[in-house]
Amino acid sequence: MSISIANRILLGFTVIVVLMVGLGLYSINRLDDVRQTTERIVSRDISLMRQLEVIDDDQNVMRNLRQQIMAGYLLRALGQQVSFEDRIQEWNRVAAKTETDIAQATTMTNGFAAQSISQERGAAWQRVADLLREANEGLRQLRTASERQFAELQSGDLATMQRTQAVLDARRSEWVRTLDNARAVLAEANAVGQRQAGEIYERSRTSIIVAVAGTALLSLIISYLLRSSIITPLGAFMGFVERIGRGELGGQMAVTGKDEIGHLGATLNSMVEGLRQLARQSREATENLNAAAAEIRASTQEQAASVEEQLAAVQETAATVDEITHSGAQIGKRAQEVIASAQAAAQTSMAGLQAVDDTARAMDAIREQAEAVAENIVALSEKTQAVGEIIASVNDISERTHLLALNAAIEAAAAGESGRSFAVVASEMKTLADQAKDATTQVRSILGDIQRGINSSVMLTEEAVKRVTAGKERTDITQQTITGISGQIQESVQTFQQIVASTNQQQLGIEQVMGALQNIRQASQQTAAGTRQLDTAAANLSQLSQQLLGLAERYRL
Amino acid sequence: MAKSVRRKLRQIERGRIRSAEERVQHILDERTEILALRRKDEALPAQALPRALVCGSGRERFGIPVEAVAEVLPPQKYMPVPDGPPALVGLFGRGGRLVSVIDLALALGIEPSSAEDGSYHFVLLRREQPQVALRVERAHAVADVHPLTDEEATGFRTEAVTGYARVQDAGDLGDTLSLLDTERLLRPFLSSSPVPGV
Repeated sequence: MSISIANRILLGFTVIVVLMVGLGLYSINRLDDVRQTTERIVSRDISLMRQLEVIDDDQNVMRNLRQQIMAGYLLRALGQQVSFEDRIQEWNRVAAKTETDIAQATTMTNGFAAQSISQERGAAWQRVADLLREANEGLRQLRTASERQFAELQSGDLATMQRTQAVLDARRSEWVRTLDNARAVLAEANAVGQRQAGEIYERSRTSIIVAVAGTALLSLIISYLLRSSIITPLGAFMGFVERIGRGELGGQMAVTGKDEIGHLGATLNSMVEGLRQLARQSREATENLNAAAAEIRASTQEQAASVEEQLAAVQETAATVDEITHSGAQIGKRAQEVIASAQAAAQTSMAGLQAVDDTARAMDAIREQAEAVAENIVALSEKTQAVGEIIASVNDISERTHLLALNAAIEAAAAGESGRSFAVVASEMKTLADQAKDATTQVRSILGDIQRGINSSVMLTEEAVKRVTAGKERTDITQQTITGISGQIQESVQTFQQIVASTNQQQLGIEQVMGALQNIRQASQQTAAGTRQLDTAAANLSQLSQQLLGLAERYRL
Repeated sequence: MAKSVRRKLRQIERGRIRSAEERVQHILDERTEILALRRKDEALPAQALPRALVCGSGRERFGIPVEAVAEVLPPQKYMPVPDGPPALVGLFGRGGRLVSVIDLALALGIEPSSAEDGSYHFVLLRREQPQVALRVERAHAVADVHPLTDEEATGFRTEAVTGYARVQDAGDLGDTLSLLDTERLLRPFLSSSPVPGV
């Protein structure tokens, strides 16, 4: 159920109030019902009664009129001039009115019968209607008889009139009886109506009592449900909070939901989560604190040991500084000697520089010679090419000679026997041409060797020129190096002079260092005392952290 | 060192001069010997041996009967002929007349000669109308040949070859050579070219 408690209470009370209002409306309705029923019964009975009274009055008026007519007749019969014709007309009018009244009563009765409250009363109304119809019939007979009597009166037939009078009286008494019956029936109906009104009242009362009882029961049930819906979750929360109070932060979480209890549960859960984190963090922090205290203790002990070592080291340092003072004096002396020898070295390097200059000039001369050799060799190569061209022309000549010899042989053959000795000459010419060709071939191969030799000589000469150039460059580098060495020697002379000066300052500084070492020794002794106090404090801290750990263990996660 | 090199160069120069003198002496000696031998050759019956112009084309050597040859011409330029047989490589003018150039190797259907720098020899044949020159790689010599087969042997590679022969007095030409009949060689070209002078 996800309705909030306030809404739940509001709903419960709303239901109860609605029930009450319904009950009140129902009671008022019942009362109204009873009142209406009673009113209707009374009004109907009274109106019908009044109508019956009107009819009765009409009948009395009719009887009076008839008796006046009769009296008029009797007076006329006695000889007096009496007019009673207007009375007859009056009578007729009243008779018609009576008839109308009866019809009106009948209509009223029929309407009541149609809308009767109960069957019993309907039957009574029906009987009244029957009686009224009977009365109507009786009235008509009365009227007929009366008109006949009036006619007899006109005619003066007294005997007949007497008889008619008797009949009329009988009819009239019968009619009156009928009306009385109707009145009685009406009274009966009235009684029935009264009884029914009482019954309706009784019924209404009973139903109202039942409704009141039901409403009370429903209200009780709703109140009980409201109570239980508030009390049950609250009980669960009480148990939960008690458990947290005991320190059990684990276990199950509180119930959550959308209503106020649910919100309270969610808030409690977040609170427990916060408590749990807090407990965990405090436990971790306490453990860290414990470990840190142990480390502090260990490091203070180490510090104590190192302070002892520091004291010993300060003693050794003092001895070393004393030795440094002695060696500083020796450094000063040696530096003076080094200055003298460096100046001698500077003079020697100047002489070396002069020698390197001579070498560079000799190298330049060598390079010029080698270049001249190369030019000569190139000129030789050009001449060799000229020789090659000459050999080519000799070869051409030998080739032409070869063809000439062939043609000469052909011509000799054509000349037949006479050309035979010429053919021998042609053959010799051919042999010479072939030998010339062989010789040119040999010369050409020798020329090729010479050309290759010249090429390699040119390459070697170029290589020599390159090497001489490289030698020149090295010599230049050597010159620069010697110049640099000379400069550096000058610098080192100055540096050694500075060394002498700074060694003197160093002596002064070392005396100050001795004073400072004394101060350091005193400070180390104070540090040793402080370290012992620190050790004690670290032990106390370790105990405190152990106690804190015990406290933090109280929360079970 | 330079002195020793110079001395060596001088020695080489002297040696070469000496060798040239020796060569001349040697040539003269040889010629003397040959001239001395000539009378013995004349005494022999010479008319039995035919003379032929020995030509080289590719690796093979051919002998053209010397009666059929008019002249051997030095290397010269010629104009290529379009739409001719492959062996007819071109034309050149000589003495106001057109000479058809036929490559001997192509005409025989062997591996074509490939003389370097185009220095062919042209063998002008002794015939009129048309004048024909055979392009050969080199005309070596005019020599007496010894035929090796019968005169009317057949079944050679082409009908232009009439037989094989060996050169007499074989020096460096001591190979066997194919004897050619020029008319048979030229027959396919002459019949297929009705244009006179081609």
